[in-house]
Amino acid sequence: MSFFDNIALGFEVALTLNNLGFALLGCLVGTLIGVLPGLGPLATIAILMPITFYLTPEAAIIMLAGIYYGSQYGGSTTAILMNMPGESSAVVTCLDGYQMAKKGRGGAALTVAALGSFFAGCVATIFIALAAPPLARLGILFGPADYFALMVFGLTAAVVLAQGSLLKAIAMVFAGLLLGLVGTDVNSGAMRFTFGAPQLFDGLNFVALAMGLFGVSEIIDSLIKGNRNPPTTATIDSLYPTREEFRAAAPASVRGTVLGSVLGVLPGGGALLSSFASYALEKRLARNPAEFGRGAIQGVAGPESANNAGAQTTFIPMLTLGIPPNAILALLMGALMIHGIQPGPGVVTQHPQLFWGLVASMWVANAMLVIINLPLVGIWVQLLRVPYRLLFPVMLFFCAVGAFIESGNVLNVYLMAAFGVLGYVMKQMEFEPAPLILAFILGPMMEEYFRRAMLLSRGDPTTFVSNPISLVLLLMTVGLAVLIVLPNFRKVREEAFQE
Amino acid sequence: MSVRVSNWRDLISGLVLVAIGVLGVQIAHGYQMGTAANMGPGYFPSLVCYGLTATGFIIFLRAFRAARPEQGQAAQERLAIRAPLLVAGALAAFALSLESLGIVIANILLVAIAGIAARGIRLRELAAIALAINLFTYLVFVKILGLTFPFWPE
Repeated sequence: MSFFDNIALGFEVALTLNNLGFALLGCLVGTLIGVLPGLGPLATIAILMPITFYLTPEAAIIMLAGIYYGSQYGGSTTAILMNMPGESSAVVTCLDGYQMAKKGRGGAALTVAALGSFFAGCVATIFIALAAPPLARLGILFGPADYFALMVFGLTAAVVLAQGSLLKAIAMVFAGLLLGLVGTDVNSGAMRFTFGAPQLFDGLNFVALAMGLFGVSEIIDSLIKGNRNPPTTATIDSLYPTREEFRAAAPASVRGTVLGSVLGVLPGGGALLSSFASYALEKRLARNPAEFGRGAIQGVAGPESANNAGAQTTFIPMLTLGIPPNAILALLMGALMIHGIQPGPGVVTQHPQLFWGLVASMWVANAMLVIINLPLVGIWVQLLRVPYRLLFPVMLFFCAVGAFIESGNVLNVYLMAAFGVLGYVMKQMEFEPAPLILAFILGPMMEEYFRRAMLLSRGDPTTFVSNPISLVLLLMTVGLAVLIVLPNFRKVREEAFQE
Repeated sequence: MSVRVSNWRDLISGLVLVAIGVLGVQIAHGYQMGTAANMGPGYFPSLVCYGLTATGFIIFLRAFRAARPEQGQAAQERLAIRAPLLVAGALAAFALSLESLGIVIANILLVAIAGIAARGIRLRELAAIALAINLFTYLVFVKILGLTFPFWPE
């Protein structure tokens, strides 16, 4: 099938009334949680995941993906109007967006952010449509040793880009691998780490683990920090940017899109990394960098385009190679697996409706989001007045019911509660849960590829370096590891997270 | 020269990781190990547990390093107990009551315990939330998604 046939098939799927409805629902929920502080896309996707198991796989992934990019749009609204990042990748937008709002140019900043995101979304959609199928074809060439090396590389990148101590991130990878091994060993049928509990024979429940670590622990965290009253909102006069503003913003937006599209594909990349990188780039390219932090429109246009492009292209490694580059994509991958779809090189050919439907829905969702966010911006700002004390019992209810309905087993509710408390304690001990969930998802596959590679080489571990693809991947991994040890890079990394 | 612990959290978490790792190795050695060419179910888990033990041990050792000033933030906060206990308690109450008392009462219990955790919430607000989520359960989960819950006490 040609490129256009594929796109046509995608739109056929994305434009059915059912899928349009779920895309809209995802975008609305995403914008809402993007606006609300203390509730990020990760927690929301974790909490709402079980409900999507009652939908078709296409509708489920379209809705969950809509939440992801909806939160990118919504996060920028509060960042610009009240200096409050509703979502972590909007932190950068606060720097100049709020300064613009204080000067009365908030409306222009919002328009530039939304249109920049829309432009980035369109480009990233085409990028995915063009880049994913060849990458999937490349993935088919990968042998077990290559896949094992790829997963090692992916996990290493996740460790490098995790916040906080590297050592603790490595510990979380091992812990995630271990948790992923719980259950029946597929090769021998032996029960491992089940302690005789029949509920664990199929492995630790992914939904209970993800909801606990990302949903419940987030709720506990927000409860302790308490909800601050929303600060006063800057008023919006006109949504139209001036000609000069537009001229400054357009190239920044293009640069941000390119940068975000590329960074999104890398393991460990995604929206957050893209927006930081784009801000740094714009500041370096600017004629007078002193303007940055005082309301430079490039500082809004670049990162906002970059985070949206990055959010979308992170789907490429997940869908084509089965490697989730960040925790959100790990959740989406888990959701697909529960639907019986194994993300990997086979998705494009075996599930064309799903793949192309998702690609087309990205464009559809972006179009919806511009409409949802620009003219309706006032409504979203009003929603900030909803106090957290009313929100949190409702979120807890979704967690409880969600953990139950996915399996019909109350044990998973207890399990989720336990992982929620554990997640909170981990955060207090400065351990990040993201590397754990990535390793949990990849663990069983890693073991499988490791076993197969060693079987093929008759127990000779040099197979990992004698294979050209795995050699390159392992060299890249070593390169990353060397980067970590270099004191210079360490400093940059720490500074980047502090900004 | 006396040994000083500069970071108790690293000390404890390092020890916990070592304990889990050692226990994991013990359990994994109970499974068939096999050979490198033909691995048994115990081979890969042992490797993972060795890794966990080693990283945990390094984290433990580093707790004795001189404290760095930037480590302050989270380490100075006290570990809160009230909120995690109440949240876990609300979920446990839901799970305990769901099968015998039905989801309507389970929802009410969940909201009631959650309400203790949320400071400054009014009784009227709690009642409204309980009513809303029960309506939602009925309309969306039962009517639209067609799930079968135990609804009322048996």
